Amino acid sequence: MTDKQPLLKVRDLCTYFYTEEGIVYALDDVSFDVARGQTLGIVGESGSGKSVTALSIMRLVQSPPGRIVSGTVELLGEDILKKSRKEMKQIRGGKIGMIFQEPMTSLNPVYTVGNQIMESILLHSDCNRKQAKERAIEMLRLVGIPLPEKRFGEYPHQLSGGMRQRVMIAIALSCNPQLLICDEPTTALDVTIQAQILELINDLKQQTGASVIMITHDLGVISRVADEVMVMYAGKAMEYGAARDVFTQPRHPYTAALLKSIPNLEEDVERLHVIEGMVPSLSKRPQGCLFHPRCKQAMTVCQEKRPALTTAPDGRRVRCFLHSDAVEKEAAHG
Amino acid sequence: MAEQEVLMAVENLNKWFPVRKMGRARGYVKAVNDVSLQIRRGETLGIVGESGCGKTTLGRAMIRLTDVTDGRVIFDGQDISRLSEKELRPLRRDMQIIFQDPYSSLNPRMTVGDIISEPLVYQNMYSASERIDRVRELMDLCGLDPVYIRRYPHEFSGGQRQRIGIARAIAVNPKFVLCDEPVSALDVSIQSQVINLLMDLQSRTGIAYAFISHNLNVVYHVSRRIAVLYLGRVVELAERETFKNNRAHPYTRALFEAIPQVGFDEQQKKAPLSGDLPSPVDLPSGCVFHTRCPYTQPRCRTEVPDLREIDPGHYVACHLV
Repeated sequence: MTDKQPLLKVRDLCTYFYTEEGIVYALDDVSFDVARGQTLGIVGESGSGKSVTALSIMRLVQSPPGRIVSGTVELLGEDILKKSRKEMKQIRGGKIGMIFQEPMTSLNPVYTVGNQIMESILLHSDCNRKQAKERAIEMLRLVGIPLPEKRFGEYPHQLSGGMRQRVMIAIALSCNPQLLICDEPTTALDVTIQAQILELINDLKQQTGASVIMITHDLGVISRVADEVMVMYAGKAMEYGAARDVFTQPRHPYTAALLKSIPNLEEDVERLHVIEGMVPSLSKRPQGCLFHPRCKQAMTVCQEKRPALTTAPDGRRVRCFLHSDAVEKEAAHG
Repeated sequence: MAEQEVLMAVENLNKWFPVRKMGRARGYVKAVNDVSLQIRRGETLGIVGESGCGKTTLGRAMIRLTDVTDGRVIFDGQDISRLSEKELRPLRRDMQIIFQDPYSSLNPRMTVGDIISEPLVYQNMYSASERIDRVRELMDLCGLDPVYIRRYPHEFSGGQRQRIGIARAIAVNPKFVLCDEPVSALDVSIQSQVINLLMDLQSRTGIAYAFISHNLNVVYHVSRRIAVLYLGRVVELAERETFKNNRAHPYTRALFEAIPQVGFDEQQKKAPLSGDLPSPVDLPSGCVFHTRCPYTQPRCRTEVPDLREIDPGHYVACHLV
């Protein structure tokens, strides 16, 4: 990480959902930085809080039942959690662009794709309609859609999945965002199309200098695009560091087990490594370390106390008693 | 291949769906085109391809969950491609299916015990009391605690539901199970549990699997042989090891290169294929892959390449190989 001020600085972010079954600790005390022009990968299984992270940054958490309980999200030094609704509207789609998983449901089926790109441009800039149309066509060309003038007037259902995701990227990038949040952008796509989209996101990042947060459950996708990676489990960051280091030398037992459990073409194994049990319920979390019931290296202390995320001398952050004795401070809320 | 070794043989199979406009067929979605392959007893044949390549339709035609437009499906020495539902019924004991979505494939109003024993009732196997013992045994075999026999599907997690679906499929001791994307809806850490379960069951009971998935890493891990489908055609078919170092068809090569591997090879950064899958209604002339192939020759546009055996057990449909 550079000494410069990061583009996005998230500190101690907690987002809880207050349901009838109790409080769901969807995101608990998460901190990270996104440097300019860098890609942060957030990886985790379902229910690990990775999507809630994205929604919290955009302040799109549905409330009730959800609430951002504490923490700060600083974009260029300004806490966007303190912004008014109106200011947030300018930030979303303006300074922060977002790409969702399902390109079919996140596009409006009754408007042409051109219309939907123009909508965002008109909202965030002083363009008139003619300029906005030109800009929209230019965006379609930029994301690699053939015959952009023709595609401009077509409806989402006339496009393939990969093309729709390209349109989503065009919308997200149409206002030159400084931060692009991609929530499982390629999960619904085929591998050959996925490779195209990841390449496109990488190329556009180079061209525009935007930072990217890439959220996915696919460790392969992360290793293809991310500079840094944060591994999440049950609403907490378990390990955080340079992507290459985390994947080649994982320190947290969860990261290590996760990496071993995916079948891999390079290494032939008779049986896959298994992480026994399942992800804990976020409303009835286990005592101690959230991963200890499934951890093969669990010790007595893991059952009693919650480890804190500590930074090693080389900058890697790990939340595990195998690496540090630090105990998490009691949460003041919830 | 010895005749008795082959459990399922698909011969020149076609499955076309009519596209109707104003009530008349105006064309066909050619989902499966001239596919021939064999599955041996106790082996796993992986079927891979992108969405819309016909892998699910092929699988469903194999176990006659759909009619066959043309060609033959020979299961255990018997041609089943033209049998009626009634004639198929006793054969269903030997061929079962595991579905992709563990949420919609279990009836929410039935208990786990009823779900797993339903095929036994349908096939008239065991007496009522023996059936309960059998269900408990199956639950145990599939890693479910038999005390949950009276619970309903919603009380289980995705991975456990998939175990229920597996227990249901193997209840009647089938010879063949079609696994249609069985782990695609599951989390990474749960996927490996289910894959290990399927492989354990195979080594214990000798079931043959057709394992359909778009996830090449998973297919490579579970299969003995792999068939790669593109637009309803088999473009390459070989032993799994062949796909590691000896991929021959340009599409297979592109497909394998496109999988993001955990690791940091610089060479894997470039997208190997441009463009989208062509429409299965208007199939490209000649080789179906020529519209996206980086090595297209004039001949590829006009002549359909046959699936030829280039090495023992290694079949490829490409003019250039």
